[in-house]
Amino acid sequence: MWNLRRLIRVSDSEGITRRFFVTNGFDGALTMTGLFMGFYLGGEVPVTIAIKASLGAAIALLVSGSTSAYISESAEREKEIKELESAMAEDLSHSLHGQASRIVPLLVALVNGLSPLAICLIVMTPLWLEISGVALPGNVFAWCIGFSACVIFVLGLYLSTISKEHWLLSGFKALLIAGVTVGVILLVDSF
Amino acid sequence: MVETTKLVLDVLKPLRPNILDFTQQLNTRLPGVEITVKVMGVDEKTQDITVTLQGELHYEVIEAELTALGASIHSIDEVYTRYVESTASDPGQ
Repeated sequence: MWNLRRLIRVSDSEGITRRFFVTNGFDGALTMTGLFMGFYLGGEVPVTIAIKASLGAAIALLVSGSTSAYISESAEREKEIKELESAMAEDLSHSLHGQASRIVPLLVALVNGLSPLAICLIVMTPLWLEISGVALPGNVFAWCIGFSACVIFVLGLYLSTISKEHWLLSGFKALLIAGVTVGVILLVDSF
Repeated sequence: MVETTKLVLDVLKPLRPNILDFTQQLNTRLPGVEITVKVMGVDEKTQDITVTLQGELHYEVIEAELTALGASIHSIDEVYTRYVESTASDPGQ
């Protein structure tokens, strides 16, 4: 069995896996922010219903993220291996490159699917606490929105380690996007 | 019995892994063999390299390991062999 790190290196997919983690993680956090805003503005939404709806969205993001990444990555890797085979005038299906072209799309799909799922489950923490009997002061959905904002800020911080941008600026840029989303939802709700 | 002690091969390999990774991975698969890799030419997707191997060499194993790393042997450019007296325990006796 080939070492996974070698397969990632030979297929030059370290960057894409990292990008997909952030992009889809961000997707998950923003989707949940929208959902929590809906519950918050909707009034008396039971926590059990909110959990079911949020889990539904999280699973949909898992399936959508993993399948779309798998389909697009496999096509891309297939193209790359064919071009390489043509340059080498050799069948590379049993080589390190052939293995990478089969395994890397699975890895990318896994990251792309699991990152939004994990983030959705994390931002649902106030709901998990509420259902297990830990009463939070104030509206539980407001807590969820606050949690989502924190996660989005942390994703921004993580991006700063890649871009070498100032961590605070990067965090606030990510937070600004969440703020705009909340603003648009409030605007739509006011009509 | 004739043993191959040194081989110089003209090999075509994809650009990735780079020759440092390539040589280290090849050496991991061929323990006890001293390997020198020299880049002779670089194309858009491939590299033409000269691989010099010294030690107890088995061509079929070397070819299989190079193929597994995505490389292919274009030609055998140099061969060094040594005649070793067979002992009584050799199956060929």
